[in-house]
Amino acid sequence: MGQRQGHVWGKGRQFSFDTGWRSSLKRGKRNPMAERPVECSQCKKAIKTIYKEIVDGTPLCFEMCAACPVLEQKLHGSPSQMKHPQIGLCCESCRTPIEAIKMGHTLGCKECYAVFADLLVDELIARKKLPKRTKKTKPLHSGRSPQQSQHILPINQLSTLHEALNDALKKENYEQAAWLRDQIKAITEKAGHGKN
Amino acid sequence: MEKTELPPFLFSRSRWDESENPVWPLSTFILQRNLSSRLFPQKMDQAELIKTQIQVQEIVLKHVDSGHLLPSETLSPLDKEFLFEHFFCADSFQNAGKGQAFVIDPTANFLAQLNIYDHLHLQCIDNQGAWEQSWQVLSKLEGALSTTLDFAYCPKFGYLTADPSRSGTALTASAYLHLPALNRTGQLKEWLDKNKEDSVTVRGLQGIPDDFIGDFLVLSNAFTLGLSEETIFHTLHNAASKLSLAEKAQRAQLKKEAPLELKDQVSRAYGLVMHSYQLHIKEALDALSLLQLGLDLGWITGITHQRLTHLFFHCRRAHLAFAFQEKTLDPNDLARKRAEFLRSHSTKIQIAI
Repeated sequence: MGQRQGHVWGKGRQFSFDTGWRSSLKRGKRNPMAERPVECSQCKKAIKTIYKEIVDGTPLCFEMCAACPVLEQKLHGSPSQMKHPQIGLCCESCRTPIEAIKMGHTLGCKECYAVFADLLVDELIARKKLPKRTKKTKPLHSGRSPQQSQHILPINQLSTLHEALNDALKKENYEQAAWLRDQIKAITEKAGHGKN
Repeated sequence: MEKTELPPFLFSRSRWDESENPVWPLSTFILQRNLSSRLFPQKMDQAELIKTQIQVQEIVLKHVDSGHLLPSETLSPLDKEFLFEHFFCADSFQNAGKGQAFVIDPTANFLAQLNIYDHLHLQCIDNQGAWEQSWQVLSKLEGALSTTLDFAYCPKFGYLTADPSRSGTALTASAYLHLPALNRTGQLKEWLDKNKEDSVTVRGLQGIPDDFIGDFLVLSNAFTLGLSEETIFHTLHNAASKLSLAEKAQRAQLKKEAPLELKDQVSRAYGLVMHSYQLHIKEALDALSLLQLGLDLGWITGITHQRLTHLFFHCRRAHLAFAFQEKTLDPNDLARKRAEFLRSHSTKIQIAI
């Protein structure tokens, strides 16, 4: 049960790949009905590879990301056989393995942040979950700390309106500019009445 | 219908009904926190979950005025879906069970999720465009809780969440915008392409990018780590304000031009709402959205924006099931009930094209 049977795919391999998956997806050939960004069947990253295999006579097809640990395991055997310096690393506190982090799974405890710090930063950058300018130069966290003030500066509605007005004038959209001027006037007058 | 554990005030108060801005009827704010001394909820066994729930709920109930505890195991799937719809939650908690709970308050404006994805999610809805005040409420509560609960924090990653992409400020703000004029004239996608902002994500009401059901668009901050709370608020508010202004300008243009295609769409929507016997959710929301636009353009009379917004949010599955005391959520039954609900609440609507 569960043993893989031999099957010829291309040049006599048991499995096959199609790394052109992403480009064909863009053209909409593979999955024209897709409603969400297509994700790896094992983790939550974008698909780059199709992996096909025959298990107990049943053809299986997985759509996977480029660096999926499950794909790596399917190709090179169990994690211990893989040539990766960090293989086997896991959080001592909650036993979350490094593979889980690579697959985009949730963390198990606060210690995971210390154990996988560098990997987490790489993963966040790869998943575009970090703003560009903070990648190297700035500290990662720029929000408040537990002891800091909770106040935020008031949001300035007028600056947004002025920005939109300038945009409209640049585009010579005078009707919209006039409408925006009315809005600015209304807010300014309202603020003036408030002060009086 | 089975007995519900949800308190009556949740059914009598709908925050979106009170909104005076039909283009931007509401915003939501979520703060995620975890206890420093415990494993995150996904790694806990049930005994630990229960222990944590008791510890957190005790402190939360102490600081939330007249807070109402809803243990997850006492809620039916329909109750959970009602909560999910009411608070515009992004992630489902249909599988929540023992050791997980919710706390709400009588304003029907605040929701705390205990042990669902993190130990604590604090969420509030704003329908008055008063972001500073909403943030003050949320951060004041978080500050009060942190005097007793030690929240997981490190200087590098900020507040630590189970999903590392939500760490840092662990703050998610979302602005719900109703943009029928831009969407129906095909200008929305063009506008979004031109004004693309990396730090803001765009999705439809059902979480799907590019599928703006009911012409609703949800803007949220893309990053929680790497930006301060202020930057998150200002960037998102700025983007939502610009879109809102573009929508208003487009409506002014449509009022002047009164294009035949749009008049036709609004008239059809009127017919659908007034005379249908079966309406699926997408049809209903799209039709109500067009009526909102028609009302603003002076083509529809006999109803207010608030009333239409009420119908819009109350014809969703769980709200509808509760309104009709339905036990099941069978799509065909609900489609019939939805049509009945809309017919009975829109008898005074008149078309003035």
